[in-house]
Amino acid sequence: MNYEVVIGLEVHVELHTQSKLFCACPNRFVPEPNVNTCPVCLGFPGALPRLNSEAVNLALSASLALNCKVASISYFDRKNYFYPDMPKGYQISQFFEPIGSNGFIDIEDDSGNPKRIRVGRVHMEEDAGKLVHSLAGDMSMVDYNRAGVPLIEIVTEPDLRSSGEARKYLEKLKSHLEYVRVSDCKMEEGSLRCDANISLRPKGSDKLGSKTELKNMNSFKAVEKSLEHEIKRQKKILDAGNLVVTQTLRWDDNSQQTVAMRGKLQAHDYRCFTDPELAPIVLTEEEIEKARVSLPEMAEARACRFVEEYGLPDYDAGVLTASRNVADYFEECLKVYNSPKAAGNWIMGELTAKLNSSGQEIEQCPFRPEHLAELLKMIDENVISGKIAKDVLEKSFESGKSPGQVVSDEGLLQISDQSELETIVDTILENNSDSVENYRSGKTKAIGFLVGQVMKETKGKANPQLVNELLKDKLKK
Amino acid sequence: MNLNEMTVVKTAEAVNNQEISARYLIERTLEQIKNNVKLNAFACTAGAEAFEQADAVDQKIKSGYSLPLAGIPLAVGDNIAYKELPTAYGSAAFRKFKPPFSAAAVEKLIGAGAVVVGKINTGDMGFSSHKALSPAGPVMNPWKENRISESPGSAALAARQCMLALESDSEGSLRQGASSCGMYGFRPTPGRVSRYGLNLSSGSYDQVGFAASTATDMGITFQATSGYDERDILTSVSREAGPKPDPNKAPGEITLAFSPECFDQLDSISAKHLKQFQAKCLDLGFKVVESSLKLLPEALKAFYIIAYAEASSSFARFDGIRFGTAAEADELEDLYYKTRKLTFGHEARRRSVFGTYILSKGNFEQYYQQALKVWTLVRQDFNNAMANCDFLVMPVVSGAAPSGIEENDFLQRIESDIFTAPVSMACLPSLALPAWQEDGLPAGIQLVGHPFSDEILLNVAEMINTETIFPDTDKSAWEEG
Repeated sequence: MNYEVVIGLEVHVELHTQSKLFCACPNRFVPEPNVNTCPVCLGFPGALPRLNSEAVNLALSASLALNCKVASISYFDRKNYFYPDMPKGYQISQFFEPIGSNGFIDIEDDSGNPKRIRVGRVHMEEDAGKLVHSLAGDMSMVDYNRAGVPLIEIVTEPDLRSSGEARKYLEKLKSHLEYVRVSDCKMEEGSLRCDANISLRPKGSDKLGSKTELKNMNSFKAVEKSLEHEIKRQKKILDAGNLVVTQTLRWDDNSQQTVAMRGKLQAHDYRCFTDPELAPIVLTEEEIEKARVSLPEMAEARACRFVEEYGLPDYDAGVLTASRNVADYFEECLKVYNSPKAAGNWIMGELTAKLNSSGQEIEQCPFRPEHLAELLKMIDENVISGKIAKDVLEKSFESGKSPGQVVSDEGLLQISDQSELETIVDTILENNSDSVENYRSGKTKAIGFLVGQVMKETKGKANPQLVNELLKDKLKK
Repeated sequence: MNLNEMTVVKTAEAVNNQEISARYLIERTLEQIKNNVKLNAFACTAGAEAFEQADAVDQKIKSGYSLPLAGIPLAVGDNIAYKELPTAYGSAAFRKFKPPFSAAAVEKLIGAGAVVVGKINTGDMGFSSHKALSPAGPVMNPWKENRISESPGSAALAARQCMLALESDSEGSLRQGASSCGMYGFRPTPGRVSRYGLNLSSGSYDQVGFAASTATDMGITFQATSGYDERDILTSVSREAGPKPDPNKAPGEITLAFSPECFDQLDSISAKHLKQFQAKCLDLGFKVVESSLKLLPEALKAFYIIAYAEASSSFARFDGIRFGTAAEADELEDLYYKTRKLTFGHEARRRSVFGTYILSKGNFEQYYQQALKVWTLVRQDFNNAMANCDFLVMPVVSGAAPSGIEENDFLQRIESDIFTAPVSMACLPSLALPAWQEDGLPAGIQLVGHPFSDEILLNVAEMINTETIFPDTDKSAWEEG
């Protein structure tokens, strides 16, 4: 039978704040357990929560970036359940009235057509601690460093129809949230976590099939793979005439399959009610408008502008704007030296490769936008060749020295002095009479070898254009 | 010097003038606590730490400072954090627990020169000993054998085991106990005094309050403790001070309202006394009017539904993992069961169970949400009642101090909160002040003010100026001085 896949995603994102949601403890990863804790985030009797306004501002920006309607008044509620990682025996969350609702993200479906994914709600909540189990399995310990870290949960309507769409949604979501500087959205590090609800139904049916929930995916790729795996699994069950059991499954990255989670099957009754210890979040029209106006230019708009303003191809504009930091880097570079196409190519090519291999982020790497600008200028002014420029970038990236400094320290200045090059060219021609013969007998490709020899002799510093001209000129004779 | 009937004002003055030392006051107080241990007012008493504090106060005064509460022996409720002494929450699992911080109000009182002489015996999880059996048993009333006090601080105060007590008030135990011990019990407007450090069972209703022996003492105490505290968001209403009382205002410019529905809820003796008190107010020159309070019985039910619901959630933190004594257990669920059994007494268990039921699927709408609607109506009811008056004069309880505890009559005990719990719900400041005596037992009335009228309320209580009478005791450490 032909099935339609129905997927909804619940994404938790850590807000990038200075301190936790209800206390002054730093919101920062530290390896030692229970260092970033205080009576409030440990749930001591008598300690009272007080709301971090920075977290509210970030949640507001995120809601607006996801095109949500922002509630002028929203509340914090208690979601009650016992678990050792939950210090108070309840999680403070927004159950009845989320800060953001009825938003959307536009993606492209698998055939490349535009598609709108509805975001049902964006709500704020606090993170739990972390259980650590001893290797022998005889002890469980709790680390509350993460307890009380501010999160937003972003819930889609069941609008996604394939694993590919789910991945595109996540990429767009990450881009949006990065643009508003709400979170660094690193799934591998847990600052973005994703659960997926998935069901299949016969094509044309408008009734939802029974769903399963997927957890424990630690990369976008894992989300895509686990969904693919789950689609196949459910299809097999349905094809055999059986029913899919509603359950929670865990993605096992090692075996690349979904595994039923052990634990209780019964549905939890969280007994949510509004927390009497916290005041409602009240946002005036002006505050919401102010936040809306101060939203940065988002990826899509920026890509359009890059095409128009800098004449970049659509593809380049898309790649350069996917991350705000990359786009900022690009435009910073242009401010110093306006060569958009070349800047884009170097960022997408050499620099990205270097960032990937060194595991650094563009905003922190020592090779700054003004360094790239200087490098591009030196190439254009024939101070160095493109080939040498790659080495310069590498050395500058590693040492933090400016490209000009690298060039002068390493003696990499391009040789554009005609008489100096002539001497070298003459020697090469003398020593490679075979190639000279070949060229003169019509095998003009032989010139490439000769250029190469000159470059080798000059350690790549020779101005390639000038070498070409000199060779052609001399070979004619 | 006979300090037997000294007030906070006079005593602090004597200490500031170096007529007596703070150390001497603390010595006498600790002796007085020993003289009457059968009252059972204290869960633990201070030793060296109290003398250290007292000496520090004496030192400060010698070096020229003057402190509003210099040397005043202070008793602190055992559900309020004080890091120098165990804070047991009336729970066997916390007998030796020293919290890592002190409550904001404790810090402020100590800063004003008060010296903590001990933690007073709250019932199970801080509920009044009228509501809950403490592992240590009930706190007795110094006025009469076999009677208890709903407020341990008021009992200690009447027995001169302290001059000031800090404790909590939710459904009204502080005001009720003050009333049955002939003392002043004050529940300020929510947000005027930080409740940081008070173990909250109900975030909606629990407040810190004070027991003192005169309205003037209460005023000084309130002044020393009220104000904005960044650790309690509720106090953001206190960024500005409350309206100051006009010292020239005559009783004739103040309107007191009595509610006929309150008379209906009283036994005939209490009703007779309240009528007499109403006549006394007229004699004093106050304007007296009638104001209707239509929803007291409904308010009481809604109050308990919400308080139980909140308690079931607030107590979830007592799982034995971070603080308190954890029971030995093989697995997690077992740890929860055993630890909570050890931690909670009957009242906390009752609230946990009822509260969980109230919030459960299927009950939430008909109980909890319905109670929230009633809450809104109750606030309106009080608003209406107060529209044509400055203060409401209400009874505190019907009848005199209750006798001991029988475990099964909790519904009846709830009913005794019909005058106090609705006032808590309405978020109004309320002072219990002594008003009459019947059969050797004192009783008080509640003066209920508009929100944030705390200072004016205490000022009007001074104008009513009822005499504070202390019970006779066999022996007083104060007289020897």
